[in-house]
Amino acid sequence: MSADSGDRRSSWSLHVLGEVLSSFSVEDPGAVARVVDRLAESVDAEVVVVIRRGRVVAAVGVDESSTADLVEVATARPAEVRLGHIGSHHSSLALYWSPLDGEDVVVVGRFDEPFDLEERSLLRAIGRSLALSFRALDALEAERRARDELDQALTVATHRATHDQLTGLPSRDLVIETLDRRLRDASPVELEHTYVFFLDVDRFKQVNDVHGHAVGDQFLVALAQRLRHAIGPGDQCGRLAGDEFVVVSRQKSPEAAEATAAGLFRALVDPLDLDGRLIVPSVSIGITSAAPGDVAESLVDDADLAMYRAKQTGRGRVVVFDPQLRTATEQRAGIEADLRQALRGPGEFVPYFQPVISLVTGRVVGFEALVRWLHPTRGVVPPDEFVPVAEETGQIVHIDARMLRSACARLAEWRRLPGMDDLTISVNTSARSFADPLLPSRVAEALDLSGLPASALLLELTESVMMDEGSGDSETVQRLVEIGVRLAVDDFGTGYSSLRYLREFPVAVLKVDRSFTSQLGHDREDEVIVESIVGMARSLGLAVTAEGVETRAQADRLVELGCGYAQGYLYGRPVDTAAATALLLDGAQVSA
Amino acid sequence: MNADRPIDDRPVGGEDVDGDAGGERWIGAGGSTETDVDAAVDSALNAALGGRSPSLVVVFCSTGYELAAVARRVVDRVGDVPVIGCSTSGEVATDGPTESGLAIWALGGDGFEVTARLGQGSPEGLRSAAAEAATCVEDLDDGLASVLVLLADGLCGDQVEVVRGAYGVAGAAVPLVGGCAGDDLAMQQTEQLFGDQVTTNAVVAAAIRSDAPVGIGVAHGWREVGEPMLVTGSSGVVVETLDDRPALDVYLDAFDAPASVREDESAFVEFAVVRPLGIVRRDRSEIRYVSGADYAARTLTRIAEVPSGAAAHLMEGDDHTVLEATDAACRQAFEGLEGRDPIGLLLFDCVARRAVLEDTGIRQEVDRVAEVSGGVPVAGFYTYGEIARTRGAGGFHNQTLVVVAFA
Repeated sequence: MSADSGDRRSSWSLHVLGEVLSSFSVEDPGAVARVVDRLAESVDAEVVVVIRRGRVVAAVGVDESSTADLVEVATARPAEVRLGHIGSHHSSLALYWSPLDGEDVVVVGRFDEPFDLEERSLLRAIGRSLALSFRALDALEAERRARDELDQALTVATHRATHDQLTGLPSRDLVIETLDRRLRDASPVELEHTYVFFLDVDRFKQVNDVHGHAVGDQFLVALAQRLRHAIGPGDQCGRLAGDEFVVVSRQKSPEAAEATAAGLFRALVDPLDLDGRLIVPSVSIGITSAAPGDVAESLVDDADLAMYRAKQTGRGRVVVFDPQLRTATEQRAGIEADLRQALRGPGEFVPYFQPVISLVTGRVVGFEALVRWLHPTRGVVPPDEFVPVAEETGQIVHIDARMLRSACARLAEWRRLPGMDDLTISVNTSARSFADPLLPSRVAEALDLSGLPASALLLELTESVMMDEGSGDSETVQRLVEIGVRLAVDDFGTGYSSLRYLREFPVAVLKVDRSFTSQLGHDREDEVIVESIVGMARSLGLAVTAEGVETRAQADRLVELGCGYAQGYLYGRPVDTAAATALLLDGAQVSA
Repeated sequence: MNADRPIDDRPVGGEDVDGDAGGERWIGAGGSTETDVDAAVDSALNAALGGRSPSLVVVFCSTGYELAAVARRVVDRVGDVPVIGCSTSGEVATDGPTESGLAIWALGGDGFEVTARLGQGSPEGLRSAAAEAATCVEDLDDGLASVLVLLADGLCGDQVEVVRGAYGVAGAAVPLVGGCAGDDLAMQQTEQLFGDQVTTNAVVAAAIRSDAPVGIGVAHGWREVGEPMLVTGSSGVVVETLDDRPALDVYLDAFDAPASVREDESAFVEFAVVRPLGIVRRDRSEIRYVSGADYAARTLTRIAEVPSGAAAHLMEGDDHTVLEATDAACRQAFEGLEGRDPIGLLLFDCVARRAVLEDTGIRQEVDRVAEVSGGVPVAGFYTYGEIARTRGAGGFHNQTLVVVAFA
C-alpha cells in the first residue's frame, strides 16, 4: 500500500462523486449498471442494490435470493443484516440506505465495517444525483415512448394513406408512385421487361346486387388474397378502385407475360365459398409493357384499354395492348362528346322502322323501331358506331327514352290509318335503360302521350339484359307487368336461352337470331334449333319472329317450321317515317 | 474439455501420474527455459508433479513457445485434469524468474476440489467472458470456492470488466485472484489456454475449494510524484485530458521525458512502464499502467479505465520500494493463513515491476519470496494487469504484486 497523505484523502469522496456523475448517461440504458459498479468499487462495498417502485433495477454482489431479502427489509431500513446466501465467514453486512425519490432507495452494503460520515455523505450525494438522473431518464423514456407512439401512428397513417383499407393491397397512388420510380431507375433492358397487368372483375355489380355489399367486399378480399399469392417475387399488386386490380411484374417476353396473365386468371377463377354462397369469379385482363419515356399513369391507362377490349370481346379474356386501341379510344371520346352535344338538341336521334310481316297473311303487322343518328356533319351514323359508347356512358338511357316516345307517337299515327289499328311496335331497350328504375314511368308516359294501348308496345331486350336483371320479381318488371307492356327477347338462341326468365318475365315474343335464319336450308342443326324454338314458343303461348330473312327460300322454310312472323331485307330495310308510312299506304302487303 | 460439468468428476489419466488425486495435499511448481517444447514441458511438469496426480495444472508460458504445442503436451501427460494457463511477459518458478521460458504450478491431494471453465469474449469486451468462466464456482459441490483464479486476455478492452463480470457471478464470498496474459511486451496479442485448447480474447478460470485457508496479499511499491490532477477527459481506456490539458503533454512534461520518448512509441512504452498513474481511492491508490501514447491526439492509452472526474497522481518507483512491496504482499498473504504454514504460492507480478527491478532485482524478489515462505513451491508470471478482490466489489490492479498463499 502506498503512503497516502491525509490531506489528499480528505477529498477522495468528491472525486468519486465526480466519477459517478460522469458515468451516468441518459442516452445509455447500461449506465445505471455502470453507476452501481462504480459506487460499489468507490467505497469497497460488496453489495449495491437499487430499488425503484418496489423493484430491483440494478444489483451487484448478491444473488436473487439475497436481493429479495433486501427488498423485504427496505421499509424498515436496518443498519445491518445477515445474509446467509453470501457466505458463512462474514458475520454481518453493514447497510446504508441512500434515499432516492419517494420509497425508492439505493442500499449499499459492506461486510463488517460500517460506513463513516464521509462515506455516508458521499452515498447520499450519489443517491441524490441518481434520483435526478432517474427523473431525467423517466422524462426521456416518456418522450421516447411518445415519439415511438407518434412514429407508430404515422406508420399506420402512412399505411392507410397508401394501402386499400378493404384488401390491404397498395392503393392506386402507391402503385403509381412505385411504378414511376421503377420506370425511372430501370436500365433499358429492365424497362423493356416491365409489364403492367390490369385486371377487372367481370360482373362484380351482379355479385353486389345479388349477394349484397358485405359479400361483395368478402369477394374482393378473397380475390386480393389470391392475387397476392399468385404474383412472383419482386412483383407488386394493388387495388386501383372498385373491382380493378393491377400487377406490375418483370417478364422476359410478351409470350411470358401472356402466360403470366393466364396464370393469374387461373389463380383467380376457382369458385369461392363465401358464407355458404358459391361464386365463380371471372376477370378480364389487359397487358402492356413499358417503353422509354413511359410514365406510370399512361402505362396503367394502356393496360386499362386492353382490359376494356377484353371485356368488349366477351369477358374472361386476356388482351395485349395495341396502339390502335388508343386510336379507337380517341374516336370513342369524340363520339361521346358529339353524343353529349346531340342530346342537348331535339332532332338528331330519329327512329327508323323495319316492318315485321305475318308469314301467314304476308301483311305488315308492326315495326321494329331502330335508332339512327343524323349527325350534322357525318350524316347518318350507324348504331354500331355509337350505341356501344352510349351504353358505356349511360347516354343510351336518354336515347332509348327518346326512341320510345317517338316510336309510340309514330305508331299511334299509323294506327289511325284504316285497317292499321292492330299494328305493334318493338322498341329496343338497353341494359342500362332496363336497370333504370325510371323505365316504367317513361313507358307509361310514352303510352299516355301517344294514346297507345300498352298491348301495342313491345320492349325488345337481349337475353343477357334479363340475366343481368337477375329475376323477374324486380320492381321494374312488376310495374311493367302492371302497365301491361310485353317483352320481346332479341337474338334468342344465342345466349342462355333459359326457360326460367321466359316464365318469370312478361315475354310475348321470341325473336330468332339472324345467324340461325341465314342457315335455313343449309344447316340441319340450325334448322333443328329454330324448330325447337318455335315448338317451345308454341307450347308457352309465345309468338316467334325470325330476324334477318333475306330470301324467299328462308321464308318458305320458316313457314314450314311453323314460325309466325319475320323481318329482314326480303320485306324491307329499316326506313324513315315517310318511307314506312308509304309502305303502309301502299297496302301493307309486302310479300316478295 | 467439456466446460459444462465439473472437471474433477472425471477419471484421472496420464502416463506418469500415480493413482488418483487423493493422499496428502500438495502444491508443486517447476520452470524451464529449454527450447524444445516437449522437453520444457516435461522438465517443468516433472518438477511440479513429482510423480503425483494433480487436481489442477496451471501453465504460464512465454510466447516463444507455441502455446498449442505446450497445451497438447501437458494434456498428454496429465490426462483429463483441469488445465488452465496463458501467455506471459516473463515467468516465475521456485528456482527463480525466467524469460522466454515456461512455469507450471499444480496442486493435488486431499482437501482440494477444483473446477474450471473457459469464457470466450465478445466484441463488447471481456465482462461476459469472465462471467461465463466464473460459473465454474457453481460447479463445485457446495458452490463455494476458497478462491477463484482468473487468467484473462491482457490486451482486449477494459480489464476492470473482468473483475466485474466474475464478481457478478461468484459474489462477495469468493475472493478473486489472477492476472492478465502477456506477450513478452510485444503488445500484439495474448493467448489463453484451457485443456488442449488455445484461444484469445477469453478468460479462463479455476475455482479452488480448499479445506485449509488461502491468504491473499496485494502491494505495489509506487510513490506519488507531484500534486494530484483531475481527469477531465476520458473515454474508456483513453485518457484525453488531465486538468484540461492534453494528457500526453502533462505526462511527458511532469516526468521531463527525453526527446526519444516524445516521438518514438517503443521508447515511450519502455519509459511509461515504470511511470504509472494512480487513481485516488478511499484508502489507497489504484495503479493504472500507461500502455501507449497517441502522438497525434496527444492522449494516453491504458489497459484499464481511468474514469472522468477521478483524481489521479503520476507515480514512479525504484527497486527499493518495489522490493519492499514484495515483502508486504507476502506478509499480507501469510496473515490470511490463520497461523498455518504455506504449502505453495501463486504470484501475479506486474511486468512493470520487472522493468524497475531488472534482472538482478527480480532474482532478489523471488529469493525474498522464497525466504519469507520457507522455500515452498512458487510459480507465477509477469502480467499486463493483476486481479485481487478480497473485499468490496473492485479488485483490478496494475503495476502490483498479488501473492496467493495456500496452507
